[in-house]
Amino acid sequence: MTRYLIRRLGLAVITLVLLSMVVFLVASVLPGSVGRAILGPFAEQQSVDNLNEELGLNGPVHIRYLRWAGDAFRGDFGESYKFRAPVMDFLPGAFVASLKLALATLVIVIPLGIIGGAIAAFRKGRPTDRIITIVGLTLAVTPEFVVGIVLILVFAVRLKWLPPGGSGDGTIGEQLKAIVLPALTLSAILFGYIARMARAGTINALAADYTRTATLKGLTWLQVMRRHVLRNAMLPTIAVIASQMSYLLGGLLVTETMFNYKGLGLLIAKAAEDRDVPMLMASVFVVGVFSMIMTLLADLLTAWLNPRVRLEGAE
Amino acid sequence: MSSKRDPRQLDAIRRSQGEIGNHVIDEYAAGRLTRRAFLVRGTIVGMSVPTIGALIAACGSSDDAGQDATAVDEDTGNTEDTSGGEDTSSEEDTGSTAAAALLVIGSGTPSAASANLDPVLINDQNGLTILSSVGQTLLTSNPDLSLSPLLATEWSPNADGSEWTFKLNPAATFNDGTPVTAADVVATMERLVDPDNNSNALSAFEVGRLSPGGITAVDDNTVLFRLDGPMGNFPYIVSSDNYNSFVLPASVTDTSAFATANIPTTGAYMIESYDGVKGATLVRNPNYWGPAAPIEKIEFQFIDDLAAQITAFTSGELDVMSQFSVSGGESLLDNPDVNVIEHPSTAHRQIHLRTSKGPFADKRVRQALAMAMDRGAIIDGLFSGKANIANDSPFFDVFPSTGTPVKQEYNLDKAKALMAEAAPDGFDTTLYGFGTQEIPDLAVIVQNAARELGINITIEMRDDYYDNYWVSWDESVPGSDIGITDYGHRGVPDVFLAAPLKSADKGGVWNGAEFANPTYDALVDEYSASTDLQSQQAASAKIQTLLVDEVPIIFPYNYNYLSAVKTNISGVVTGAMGYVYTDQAAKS
Repeated sequence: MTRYLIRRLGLAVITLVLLSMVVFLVASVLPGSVGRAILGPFAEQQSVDNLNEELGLNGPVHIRYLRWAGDAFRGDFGESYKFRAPVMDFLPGAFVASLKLALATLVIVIPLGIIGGAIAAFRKGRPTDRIITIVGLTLAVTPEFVVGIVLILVFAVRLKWLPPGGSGDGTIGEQLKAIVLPALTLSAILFGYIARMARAGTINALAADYTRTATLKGLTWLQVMRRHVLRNAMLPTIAVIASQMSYLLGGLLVTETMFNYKGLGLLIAKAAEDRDVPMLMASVFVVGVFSMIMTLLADLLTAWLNPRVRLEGAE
Repeated sequence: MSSKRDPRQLDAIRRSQGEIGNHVIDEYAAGRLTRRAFLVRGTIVGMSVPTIGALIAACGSSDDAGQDATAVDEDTGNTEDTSGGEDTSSEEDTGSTAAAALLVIGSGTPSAASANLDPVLINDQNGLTILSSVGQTLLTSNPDLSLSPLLATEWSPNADGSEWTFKLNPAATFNDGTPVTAADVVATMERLVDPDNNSNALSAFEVGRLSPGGITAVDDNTVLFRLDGPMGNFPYIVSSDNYNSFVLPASVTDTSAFATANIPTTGAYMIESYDGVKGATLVRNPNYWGPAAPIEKIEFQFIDDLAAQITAFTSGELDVMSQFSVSGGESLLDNPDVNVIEHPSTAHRQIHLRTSKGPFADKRVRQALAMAMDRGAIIDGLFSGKANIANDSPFFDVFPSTGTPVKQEYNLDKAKALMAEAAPDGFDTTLYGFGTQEIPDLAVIVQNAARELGINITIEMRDDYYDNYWVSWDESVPGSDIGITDYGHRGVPDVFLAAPLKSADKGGVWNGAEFANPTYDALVDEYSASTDLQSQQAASAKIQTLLVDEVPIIFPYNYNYLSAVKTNISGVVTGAMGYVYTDQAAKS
């Protein structure tokens, strides 16, 4: 298990280094100069040149990358070109905001998805199964801006029960209110995936020999479900949930824009728009690290649930 | 009007005016200026609104005077709101709404240059929307394009308009209680004209002919601007038209962290907290030198997406939307809970056609494309009519100096005939632009118009338009044969006349059309040096005729500036530049 863990961590580090190189390279070759992006279209060219020089943007890309990587290794992600302030003044707030939204979404969607999937599996082929499957698929393929707009129109504009978004600041009550609609929107998108995986896993587990054996040896239905069916049915579901975490953390541009929710997705998009390379690099790096950790945790959880994975890893 | 003129009153006012001021009075008295033009021209040379009102009354009948006075008040209503001056009605407002706590304004996120609200760098209306409640300029440029006093109470030129003297309001103070002095104005302006500071105002001061060392403190309350040459519209360069020129204390040396540095300012509000990603909170300035603001706090929420902003507004989260466009904002236009503030503005798009080489080097091709564009249909389609037809020069109808506009005709047959002579086989080209607001739609309209002439246009909306396809800064930058550029509002056309159209070595720093015409350059110099409206209109007529014939740039329209305010909010004044004045805002 330790070797498995070390190997996974080594792979994660390599992946992060490659990720940082690719993002830095792409950010550096994006059309347009940083000075122009910051000072705006109507700034004098001399001012643009001065700023590019001041920001040290005239050197070769690899030298600039190595400088960034050296600083990042020491925990210094540099100063935002846009705000002229440390990147870390902005990143934690956006990270926490995204994390809150991700957790709120998971709190809603995991129980709903798993229960829905399990019910569909138990009712396989019956109307309940069809309804859950069709609703899940329909929500999954409906663009989030459609779901979001419907929720906003109903709950914010018409009923005025909830705010149409916001940054999630203020009291806990205000934060909860602000997070409900974006979390529901994301839950609607993810429900179909999770329910489908949970359904497939449950159907497989119900048909497996070990379930039949467990039933035949006299275990109660609840024991069979808890120890054998759900434990095995959850394996693919956990992988799906883990893969969605990085999406929930950094890929919510549409949802964050629609609800004006100031999370990592918006921060990354604005940083790319403004050619704010230090902010972009740090944000992507954080999403990358988080994604690695979540994947690793998912793998460890899978290994814990399924001894075969653990043993294969050890070999 | 002249039948009831009061010569004694007129003479008394004349004695207080300089040569240029008296010329303006003469022109009005002779009936060669309309009241509106008199108001604008009078304020440019430093006449106060009461003086203008008195002159209108002195030159006209008593009935006229009453109407004129009303007209002046209407025209300058926001002026008095924003000047912090003598408006007693606003003091009444203050008393009746003192309990009002919070006004929430929605705007976009400030650009990278405006991210710290640094007055030296700020370059967009989102940053300006906040600063307009915090800082103040010497003068206010009003929606009707007149000027009114703010930190300066009087201003006047010398005989040829090459020197301008500004008297400061002795009551004006910064929020730490210290008075605003001439030394503060000198330091502020010198910082802005210094090329080493990357100031966003460099282009404006280049047009204003102000160079480093040209600003002098005559005494504590008097500032003298010595220009490099005559400039009739100079007061606009130190008005809110030049939004970088907020006056700061002379002791301030670093403005880079303005949003959080507690730098003293003169406005009705002070920055309490600022987050460049989320928004800002302002609190009432306890030492404000004008009437105290009724609202205790102003909160700005940054919402970039127009749909999200409209949703927040209609659901009650926002009280004010600083700006919205017709496209996407239709639901606000006929909403009974919303007051839409609409100003004619000079914000516009320019479609440059490269004159130095390529398919548009032939003047007939440029003329043909200009004539193939049905501008009436364009403004109906893109703006539901909330825009005005422009005629391929920056002399929009709203500028008094435009005089009688020289029209560009819409004539498809003539356009085809010109193309048949110049390029009978047609040609292919690429139109570049930055894909914001209605620009992609305008590009398609140009594409369709060009197709009628046998010109096959490929559209490329690019993020690096301003770097690579707008102006060919040097040989390594390609520029473009045809491109669309967005320009914001200005109170006078001087910047529009110079930067995009004058020869590169004469100040044409944004000359994407690579237009180089010595006659044009001389005419613009003539226009800029003119200190009276007749001379400006005379130069304007020649410039318009030249541009409508040469068509280096198609100016298809200038669009109206729209803001939305909830019906329970009063006293909010917006300006086409992006200002949201809140000092007399009240909430019922």
